[in-house]
Amino acid sequence: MNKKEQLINFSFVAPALAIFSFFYIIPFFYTFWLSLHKASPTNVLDLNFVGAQNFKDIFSPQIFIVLVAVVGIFLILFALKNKFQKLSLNNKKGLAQTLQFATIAIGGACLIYAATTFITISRQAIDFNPDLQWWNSVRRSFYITLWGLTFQNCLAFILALGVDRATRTGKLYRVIFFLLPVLGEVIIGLLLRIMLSHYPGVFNHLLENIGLGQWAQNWLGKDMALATLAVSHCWRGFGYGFIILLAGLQTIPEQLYEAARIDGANAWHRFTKITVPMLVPIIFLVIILTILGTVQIIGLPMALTRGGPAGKTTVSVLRIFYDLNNSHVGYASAEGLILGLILVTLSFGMLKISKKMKS
Amino acid sequence: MRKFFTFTIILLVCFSLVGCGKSKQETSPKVTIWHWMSDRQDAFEQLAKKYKQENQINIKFELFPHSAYTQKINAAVAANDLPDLFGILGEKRVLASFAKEGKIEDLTSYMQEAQSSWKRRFIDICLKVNSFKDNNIYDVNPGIYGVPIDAMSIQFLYNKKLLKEEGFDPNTPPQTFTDLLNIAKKAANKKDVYGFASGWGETWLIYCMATNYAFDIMGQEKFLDTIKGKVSYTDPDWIKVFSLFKDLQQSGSLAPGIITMNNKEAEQIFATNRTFFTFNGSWGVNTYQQINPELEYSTMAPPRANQNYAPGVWAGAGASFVVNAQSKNKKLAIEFLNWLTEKEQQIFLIKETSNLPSIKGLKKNIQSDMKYFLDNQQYFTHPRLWPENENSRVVEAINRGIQNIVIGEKTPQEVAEEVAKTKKQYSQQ
Amino acid sequence: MPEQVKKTLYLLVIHTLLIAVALSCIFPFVWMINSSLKPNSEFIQDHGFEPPSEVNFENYIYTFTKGNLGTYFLNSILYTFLTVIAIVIISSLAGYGISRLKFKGKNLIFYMILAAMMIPIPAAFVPLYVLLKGVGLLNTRIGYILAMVNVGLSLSIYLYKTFFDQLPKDLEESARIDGCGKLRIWWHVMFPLAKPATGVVVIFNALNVWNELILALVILSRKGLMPLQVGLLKFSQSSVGLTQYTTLMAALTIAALPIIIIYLIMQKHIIKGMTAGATVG
Repeated sequence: MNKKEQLINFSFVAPALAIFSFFYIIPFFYTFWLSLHKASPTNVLDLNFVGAQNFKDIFSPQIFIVLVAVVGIFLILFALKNKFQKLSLNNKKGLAQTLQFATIAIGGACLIYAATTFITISRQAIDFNPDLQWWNSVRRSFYITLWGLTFQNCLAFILALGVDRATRTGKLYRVIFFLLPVLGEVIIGLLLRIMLSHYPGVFNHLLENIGLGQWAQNWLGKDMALATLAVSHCWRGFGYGFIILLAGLQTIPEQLYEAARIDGANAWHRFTKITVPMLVPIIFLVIILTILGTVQIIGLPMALTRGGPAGKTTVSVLRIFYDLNNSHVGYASAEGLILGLILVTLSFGMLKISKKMKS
Repeated sequence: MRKFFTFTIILLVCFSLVGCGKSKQETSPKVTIWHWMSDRQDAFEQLAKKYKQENQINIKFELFPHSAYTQKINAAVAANDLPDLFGILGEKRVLASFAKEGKIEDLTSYMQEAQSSWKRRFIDICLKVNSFKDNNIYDVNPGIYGVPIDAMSIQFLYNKKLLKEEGFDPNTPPQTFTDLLNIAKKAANKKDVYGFASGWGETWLIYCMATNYAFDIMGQEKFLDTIKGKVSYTDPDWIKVFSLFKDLQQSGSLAPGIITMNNKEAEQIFATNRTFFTFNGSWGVNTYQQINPELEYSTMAPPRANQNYAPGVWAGAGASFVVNAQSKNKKLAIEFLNWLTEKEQQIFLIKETSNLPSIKGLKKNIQSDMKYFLDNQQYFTHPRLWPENENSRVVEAINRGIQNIVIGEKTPQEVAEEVAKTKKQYSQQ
Repeated sequence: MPEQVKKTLYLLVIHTLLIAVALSCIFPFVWMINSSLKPNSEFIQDHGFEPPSEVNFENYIYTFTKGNLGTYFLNSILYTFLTVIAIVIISSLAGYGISRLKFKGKNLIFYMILAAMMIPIPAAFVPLYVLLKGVGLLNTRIGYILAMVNVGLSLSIYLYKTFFDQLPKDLEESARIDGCGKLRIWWHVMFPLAKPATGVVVIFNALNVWNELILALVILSRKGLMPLQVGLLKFSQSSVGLTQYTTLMAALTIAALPIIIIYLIMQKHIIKGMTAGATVG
């Protein structure tokens, strides 16, 4: 392949790459740089370089050292196994080799850093004190994500199956189920707040009217708020999954089912042997979309509860938002990076599993 | 398909032309102001129109929702892209940082110019919240850094009609905290009426009430010593402060959902005669008048929990504008602020937005309801007047802790320990 | 016969479930529109469950005159339209390139694009602002549109790439033998084939842009440039929006109805695209 052809091929990705490097890659390094800083106590605009202090505060120094060491070991192993060839960087070995050495060097640096910090820390007795407020907010995000993955996606799947079986095109249902995603988080959040608030108490009133008065309760109170938020989110979002899954279901040729029916397969068998395997890539797409859409929610909790009561619905992105408002720019950047890293790991894991299942 | 493509391109061009054309048509504003006060935007725009007629200078008020305003300012300051005039939300520390970094103009000299009486116009406390004294802990050059455009106070309010119905004298509100609880308990007699409602979903109202009582229980000096780290939050006096919220909760008179209620929801409850007491700022009058012009209420001094010291009542500038020191239109902007705080404009502003004026001599122009908020002046204080403010993480811990007390999940003792722990952690750094 | 009964029963259960969920989706709309037609005092009494004693449009008139939703609305349409077109073109090009063409560092670029999906936007406010200011795109329509293109790009590229991966290669081969260039192949063969993927990309991104507000608040500072959601949030935080439920509901209806109507018109095409392409996939 000659240079010119390479260039032509590359030009297909160039616009995307240009936008990316401007809006993601540069901000990413900027964010990373900010995460190594902390404002002085009397001047919030005066950012001082503090190294990994923010990360140590978030993880607690002990866990941070372990993490750095693990990353170091991983990088070295990764480099030694020479995975760079796979990235198809170059036909010649030059670039791949440089990268390999660089990675080993970074890994080594990580290990040395972990070792030295370990020595300094072991000399002074430092409390084990991770930032529980932050980790609790992460836990809440994942609690909602769990609801999304189970309740929301099952609902979407069941409805898609139902529509696929009961009506051939399901036009009307498609329209109706997609109404809520169309509306947007702000509108839904404001509507739900009016409905669920103790005053005027629309939802409780409705329950009383249909004879379920004993279910009426403070939906945004301490026990229910997070679950209410999760269910509202699922209720708002199941339409996405429904549309995609339905489109997937309708690609499965009817003949396959017919053939299976002739072979004497019952409904359950047809479902597990035909429907599910055919849908695997689409299911994984829906799962990844759910994770991305749910871990990063901010509009709905902001409109519905503002993170209250007593911080019980402060999800991770909301926490970052509040930290920024309180002039903890460096700390918020560090939190953002950590959340991003968790998400990257999760989604790539999902993709890996999906690839394995396909083959 | 090809047709569609060309069509799209034509459309694209059209739209971008529309976009450019529009931005050029808009005459470039001379002075741009950023603020977050949704309820005052209308009045501001009317004033801007008037100013243009009088002085041929365009004034542009850009409103951002409160929740995103600080983000906007943070980003703008990092990019050196601040507007000519803007408001700063948050602790005094933030104002100090802007001043110290030379982002905002020291207005002292403008205010004190020989022939101008600008500085003398203002009510003292309103100017003070925007000024720095000599040797302040922020190390900012002493001076005045912001122009207050209105004033506020945050007070306890009681509903006269409900008190009368329960057989209390509507003109003698409760004097002690115990009295308050006893009256509030009577709410149980009425359907859908609560003893106490306030917008505690917006946590700063909680901190405000807590500091009022901290002044009352331990005195200002000890309170400030706590901030300095000389007194711990586990001190019995602080536990007393936290216990007040426990008492409120146990009296059963708090409105359900009080800690998710936002300010406006609480105002609505008070305005519809559905709570005996509330804790709210003077900005609420606007809502009360809109919803229920016949509402009978008044402010009262914080019902005392201790007789030894004076309680605090937050009061000061409602909103202030600061001047971008790097702006080319600095002079114009300052002239506009001067005009904005003239009598005529102030009268218009307080009438339109139901607020208190930031300048003296307008007593007779203040609406009758608003006058209640001038009561209890002997207790007036403001965090921006204190030499030092609490770390925002500690304030957050106090607010969250009190919310936890109100929902009955934690005891005052536990909250005090947690706050003390947070304090210790952040004073180390 | 029992087979027939079983089937009817089965259909009955499915339809009950579908109708129940459908009702839960429609109810808020009916309730919202119903409430928006009555004065606030009446709403407090009946919680919006009863039809208005007399239909009055006062809330709507008030919202129209006070809320200035008109400009916001046009802006939203402009942003949504341009962003979606840009995303479709750029991401289908990139998706095709990554799926079919060979060049250096291809996989690295793909993984980078995927990883970019995961960075929470709020964490990057300050950097974004500083960068946009640096190139003079701050407070411009183009700046906001580019930022929104970026937000939707990774997912769209992923969708196109996986879709192109599934397509058989012979179509492309025959076009190449006919002497088509790569760009022509993309435009005449691959892009039309990718209709279902385009359908999904259009829906997702259109909704994403339409409902976005935080980036808009950070990037834009002039009222004339703000999208609808910002206007709505401002209105909901004004003293009228916070206390007069029915007026707020009128504003919500005004904001919601047009997008629903657009969706109803568009969905025919979108779904057609999806199902037509489904046979290829």
